[in-house]
Amino acid sequence: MAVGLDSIIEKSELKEGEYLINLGPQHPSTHGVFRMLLKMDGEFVVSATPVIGYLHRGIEKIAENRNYRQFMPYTDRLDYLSSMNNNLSYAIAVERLAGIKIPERAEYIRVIMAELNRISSHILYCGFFGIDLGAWTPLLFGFRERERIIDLFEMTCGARQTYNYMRIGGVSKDLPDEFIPALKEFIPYMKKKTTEMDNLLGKNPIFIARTKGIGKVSKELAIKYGASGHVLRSSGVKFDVRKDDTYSIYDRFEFEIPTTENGDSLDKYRIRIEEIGQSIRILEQAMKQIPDGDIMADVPYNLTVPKGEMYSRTENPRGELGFYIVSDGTDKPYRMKIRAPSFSNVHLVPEVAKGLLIADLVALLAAFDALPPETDR
Amino acid sequence: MEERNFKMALLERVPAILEKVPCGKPIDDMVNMVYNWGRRNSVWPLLCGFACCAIEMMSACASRFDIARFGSEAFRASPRQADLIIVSGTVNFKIGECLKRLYAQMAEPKYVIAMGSCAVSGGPFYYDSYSVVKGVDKIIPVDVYLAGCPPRPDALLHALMTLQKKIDKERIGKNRWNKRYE
Amino acid sequence: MSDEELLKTIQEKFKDAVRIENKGNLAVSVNKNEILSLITFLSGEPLLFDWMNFMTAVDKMESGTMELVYQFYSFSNKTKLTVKTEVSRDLGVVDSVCGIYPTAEWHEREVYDLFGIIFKDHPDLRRIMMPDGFTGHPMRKDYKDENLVRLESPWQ
Repeated sequence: MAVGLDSIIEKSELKEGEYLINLGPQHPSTHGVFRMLLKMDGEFVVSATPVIGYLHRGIEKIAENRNYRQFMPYTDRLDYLSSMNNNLSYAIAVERLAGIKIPERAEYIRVIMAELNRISSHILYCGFFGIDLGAWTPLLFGFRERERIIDLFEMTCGARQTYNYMRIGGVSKDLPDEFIPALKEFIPYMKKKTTEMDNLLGKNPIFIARTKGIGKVSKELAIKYGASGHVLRSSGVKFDVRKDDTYSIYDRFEFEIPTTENGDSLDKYRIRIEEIGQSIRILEQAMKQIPDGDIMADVPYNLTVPKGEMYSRTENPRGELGFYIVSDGTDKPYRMKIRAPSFSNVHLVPEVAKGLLIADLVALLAAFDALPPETDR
Repeated sequence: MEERNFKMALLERVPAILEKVPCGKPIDDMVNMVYNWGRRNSVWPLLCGFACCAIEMMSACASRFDIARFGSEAFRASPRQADLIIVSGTVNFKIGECLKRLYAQMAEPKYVIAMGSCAVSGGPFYYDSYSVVKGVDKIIPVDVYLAGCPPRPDALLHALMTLQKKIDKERIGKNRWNKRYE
Repeated sequence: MSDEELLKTIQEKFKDAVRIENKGNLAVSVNKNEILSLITFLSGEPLLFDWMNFMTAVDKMESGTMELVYQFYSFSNKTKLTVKTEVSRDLGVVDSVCGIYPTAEWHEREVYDLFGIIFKDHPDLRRIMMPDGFTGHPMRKDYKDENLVRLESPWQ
């Protein structure tokens, strides 16, 4: 079976001194199974062709044979570092299409879980960025913080990574009594540890020298290539789905959208670190305002959605995750299209990778943070 | 080829000869014990994580569930230097080709742990998926199966301990990589 | 800009544009010959739909067509828009919009790979998700494969 992209190799017309090299699916610095065919001139990259599809599981075809309720665990496995956000995105898409209103307490619990997962995803991003450049310590610190957050999740829903916690109409289990005190202890600890991570990486002269000016993405390029999330905000476009196309109860909280102008890898890192601070702000406000009440609306066990179609989107840690659902009046969707943020973000990499050293290319891939299960679905 | 067959034949005949010599069996046991003790306490996995289970594998290497105390501290990036592949994640036809190649490039003795439901049997993607291979043992031979979606890091450590018990029972000259192909 | 104003602006230039039911935002449907000129019009002044969310296809077996769906967003006007068109199910051919939105390159490759629709003037139309030697288009409703095992449980 030809996995070697024979057409690209034939068309490549290597000049003297150039050669083709494979940054293969099994590599310590690609984040998972992601492959790049590089045309190199010595140590400099002349052109890069990404090859995806190594984790294509056919989730959209699976969706056509499952109930709306049965599809929820599959959304966990789309972007495995932010399962709660994926669950939330899918639940909001179906609730908007079916016209279901959910109780207040469920809304607040959803926001708390989504922001906690955003913090864990961002701090792990800093860890992976560190190890791709050769620093071991940020990775272990990132996993230590993630374990603290997972303890909170395990207390509530029992799982460590793929939670399947939210339901269409609310959430599945109520918060236990010890959750809010544990969260109150966790917030000052997280503030301290974010500063520590920033001292390790963001203020480190080696890190700044290796990421400043690498892979500059201009504003027009980011918009034309459909980028979203931190890739778009680092190029100067102030857009966040939580503020500009608001969903759930995010309009009740005060928080800011960090934006920078340059568009290089250092700016992308900077935005993620600032967003941790903003998520902590949202958590503090949500903890004060959370009311008592039901956690689940009155939704029939076998939910049928009236005929219609709609696209609805939310802000994931990596960008804009959207679900376009076409319903034919039964209890299974006719077509479900998942708009994954990494699919559009990774398309930008060949454009900005020209002329970089191969070590800089690794830093660029780490900054873009494209996860293969999301790219391939 | 002739020389290799001669050396193999010698290795396979030594345990049979030692049995007949007085106190030969304890010597054979002792040699096997020392040989296996060295190998089971330094199983070095390959750095390859495919999907969600890879994060639990990385958590097993981090500080809370330290895998270094079992000797597997060094995760090698090159298959030529690794002893163990932990297949962590869904395998489809495209990556299955690469997995076959990786397994063939590893030097013997080599082991495989199938981690997570997707590697054991296809997992939640068994039904209605056109591209998922239903179990990685359709491509490469597996030594230890570990269930879970994803399994906890403690479960991965338990699988590693099961593999170590399997290594303890091996005997020189009678392993599957000493088979003569005729 | 409200939905009615947007619909009027589009229908002034494209008389055949029909409004379709959509619960989230305005959706219009045009003939497949006009799709490239409509999208060129949308990306310029005064509408400025400069960001393309996605592009996909829906397989409608009963009517024998495939429906292509494009979703746009405008940063300056803060409006969303969905554009749909119908293509024939067997070897449908439609113009590519890669010249205006470079992000459509990968979306169109995915639609070609999984549905079998061919895009004219696409710079590099080849498979993206499935292996290179694969035959068939898996997301079609009548795709059959020995590897595809259907879930049939009694309480579904």
